[in-house]
Amino acid sequence: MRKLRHARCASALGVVLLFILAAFSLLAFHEGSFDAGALLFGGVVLLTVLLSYCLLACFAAHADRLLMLIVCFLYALGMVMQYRISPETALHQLIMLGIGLVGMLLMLILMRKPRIFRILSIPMALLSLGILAALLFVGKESGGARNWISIGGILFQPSEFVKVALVFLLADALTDHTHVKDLLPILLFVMVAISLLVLQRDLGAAMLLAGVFLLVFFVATSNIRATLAAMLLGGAGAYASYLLFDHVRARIAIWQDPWATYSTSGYQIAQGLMAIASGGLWGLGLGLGSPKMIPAYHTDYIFAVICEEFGIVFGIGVIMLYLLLVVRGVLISLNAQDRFSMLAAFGATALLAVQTFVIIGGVIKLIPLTGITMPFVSYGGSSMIACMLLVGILEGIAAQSGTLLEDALIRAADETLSAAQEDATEMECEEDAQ
Amino acid sequence: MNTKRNIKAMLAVFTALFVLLAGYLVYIIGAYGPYWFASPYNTRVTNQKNTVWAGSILDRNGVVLAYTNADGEREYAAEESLRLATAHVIGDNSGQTLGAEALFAKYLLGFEQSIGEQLSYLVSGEQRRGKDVSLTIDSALCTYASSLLDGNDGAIFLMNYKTGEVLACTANPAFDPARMSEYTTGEYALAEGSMVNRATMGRYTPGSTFKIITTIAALRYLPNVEERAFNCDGPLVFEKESGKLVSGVNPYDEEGELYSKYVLLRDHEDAVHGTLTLAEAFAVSCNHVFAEIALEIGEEKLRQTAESLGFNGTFLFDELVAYAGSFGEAQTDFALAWSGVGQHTDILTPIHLCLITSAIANDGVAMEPKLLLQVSGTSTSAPVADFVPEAYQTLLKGNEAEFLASCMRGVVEHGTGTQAAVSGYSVCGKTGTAEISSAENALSHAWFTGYVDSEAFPYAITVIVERAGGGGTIAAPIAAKVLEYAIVCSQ
Repeated sequence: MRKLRHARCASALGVVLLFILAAFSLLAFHEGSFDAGALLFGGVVLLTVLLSYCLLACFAAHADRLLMLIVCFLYALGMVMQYRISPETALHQLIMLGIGLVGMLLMLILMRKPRIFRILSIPMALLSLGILAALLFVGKESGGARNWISIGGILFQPSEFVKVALVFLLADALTDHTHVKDLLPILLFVMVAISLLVLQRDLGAAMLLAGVFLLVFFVATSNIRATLAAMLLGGAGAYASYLLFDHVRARIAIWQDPWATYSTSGYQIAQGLMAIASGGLWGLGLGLGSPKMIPAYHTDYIFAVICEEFGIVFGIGVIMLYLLLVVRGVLISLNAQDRFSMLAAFGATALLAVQTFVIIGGVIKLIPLTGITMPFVSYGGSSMIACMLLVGILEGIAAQSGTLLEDALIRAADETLSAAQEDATEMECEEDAQ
Repeated sequence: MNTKRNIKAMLAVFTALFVLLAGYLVYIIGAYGPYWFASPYNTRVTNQKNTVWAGSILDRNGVVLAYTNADGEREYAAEESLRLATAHVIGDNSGQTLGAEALFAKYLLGFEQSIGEQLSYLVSGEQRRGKDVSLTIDSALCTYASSLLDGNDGAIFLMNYKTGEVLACTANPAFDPARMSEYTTGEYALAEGSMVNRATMGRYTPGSTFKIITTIAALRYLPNVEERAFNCDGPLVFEKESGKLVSGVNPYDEEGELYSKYVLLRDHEDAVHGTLTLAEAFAVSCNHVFAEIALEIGEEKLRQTAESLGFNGTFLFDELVAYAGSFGEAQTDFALAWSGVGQHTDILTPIHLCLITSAIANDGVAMEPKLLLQVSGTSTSAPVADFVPEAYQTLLKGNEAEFLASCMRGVVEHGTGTQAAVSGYSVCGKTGTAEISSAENALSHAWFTGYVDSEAFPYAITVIVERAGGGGTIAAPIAAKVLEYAIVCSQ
């Protein structure tokens, strides 16, 4: 059975490699002249995919290869789009991907001993809040949000890593306690973190944190009343911020009718919608769209660029791939061998699911737009590394529960075998006696 | 275990959310995509003109209405009358109007060309061209219709009610697509409102043509209304302050406090029609009877009927941009009575009225109005997008459509629209004379909407001539001439 499954994964791997090959070959001839750099870059991406797939298979025999393949396809798609938009930023993103993959492997190994993260929960929480608070003073502003920090000349977005910490903190707190009064510390953490993010005007991250908290809280406690109360509280907070802050009101107005304020605030959404509409069903073709007309084309709006050049059918395929990723994540969570792993896996999955829904939903005008990245595809080092860490968590748990399951099976098989042997010897004895 | 059960439930939620994402993407692009693409803000279209020469736009008989000349410049038909008569349908090259130039830019500018096709241009070094587009309109018919407006503002819209093909769509005032640059430099003056296609976007008071809608409401909410005897005994009287209908006040007693305390709803030329059936009232366009019907039905049901026919809604046609009519609030009896006869705040666009008319002609089914007949092939590809009729919506039940048809036949045979008759054919229709100003000797908008009841020539037409007089005397004869011309042309 397992061989068959892996065989299917191998052919899917072939499709991913073919996609990379085709896309970068096309990009090499894009400007009418031959660009050897595109082929070279494509080769590196191709090797990265192969390497990440094989390393995973080596390090952890029971890791979820399909999940890894989806992630490989998504980051490869990201690399294609980034290179098509600007080879320089693509190179930067490739380096970040490399760091992310190392992080993923590290996480994979660390997850063999999940206890480490439980012991580290208090330092992790304090560090997260500390950085978020420090951002208020030393943070750099970009795109209206004061959520960047510069360490040694490299810009980081700490909120991305706070999300990963949240996954562990929630799992840790909710493993042992399910009563609200025992959960005050984690509640306090989440509320302070969200407040700090709102103060930095990083509404996307605040929304994400709140969403993931609610999901994991509900799943672990089955406390519908408290969940609904928290949702009402969140709704009231959102409404209050709608009344209090101009920029929130403006955002809702843009969402309702981006064309009314086309020349000013509605420009981005309108441009994104026109890009998707211009692509039609099958797209204008890779390299033939005009992505740079949309603000944030390589980060938040990458989905619009993908739809413009690859078409809506491909866009829906991408959405379905994310769904498949979420399904795999949930399966890993359901198969986890202990409660902490189960909640951590669910938290990581929920984070990826909510983030994907919020950004794609914002781009296609289903919900108001909040600036966050599209996992694995958008440009952004912190986001790429954080998403890879989440994959590391999921794969680590999958590998761990697979190993435990296998051990249990072997033990059970041994027992049956020895029992059978005993039976056999007994029978022999009986036969002898006769 | 509860946690596992909850996780499974959340998986269902995630799945629903992602399916919603995909479904919404399909919906929103299906519904609005063509408009967003054709939007003047979409600079992709203008940029594409630098590298691709736009294909030609032809009418249904192959008459070239727009083409790109040997120097790569966009040119339009040589005759000015033809350019003006088709201006709104064709649109302009600078992206200021939503005509064929913008709506079909996908084909004209080769946005749908495959990478293979694009490469073949690259390899051969030939100038890349978009495809030619044939429209459903008959340009000669448009020119003729436009000439009948005789310099008046207004619009004429004619469509095949069985297929939805738009044969004529012309509006006055019009811009000249060949003179766009001269308009910007000020060399030529552009009449106000010229850029708006009044046939599809002109929002007018419908006058008595709205009695079609009131009749449909009567059929739906007043049982056996077809057999009832109505009595028209002169103007209806309403209290000025409250707008309430009152009885027992003599509307001819002009000496007393009639004008200080009361307001009247009169018939055209103060006619008194006596006892008549609904169909007879429709034929002579009796305000008294239809005001009474509106009052009996009530505002809510009249509004529901109007909304079921597309009022207060949005038209999302694939191939043309059109506004729907609107039915406003009528809080007093007086307002509701006027609403029932197409005054007050009622609004209709010619295309909307033509759509309702075509539904009556086509057993209640309105076909989607279409402009695109065919997209030509190029050297490397076969023709695409052959014309396929599509039903837009079933607006009426079969028996409703049948009754309305008989009413409308009466209008042309012995009612207000006799001048719309075309010899040898059965024409059904409704006239309208929309009062738009209370000023003495101000002229009304003249309306006529109708169709030829014929298998071979299934044409529905709506005519409006602004500030020109009565619908029966001004609009109906124009409709007759255009229908006759359309029949002769397609024989």
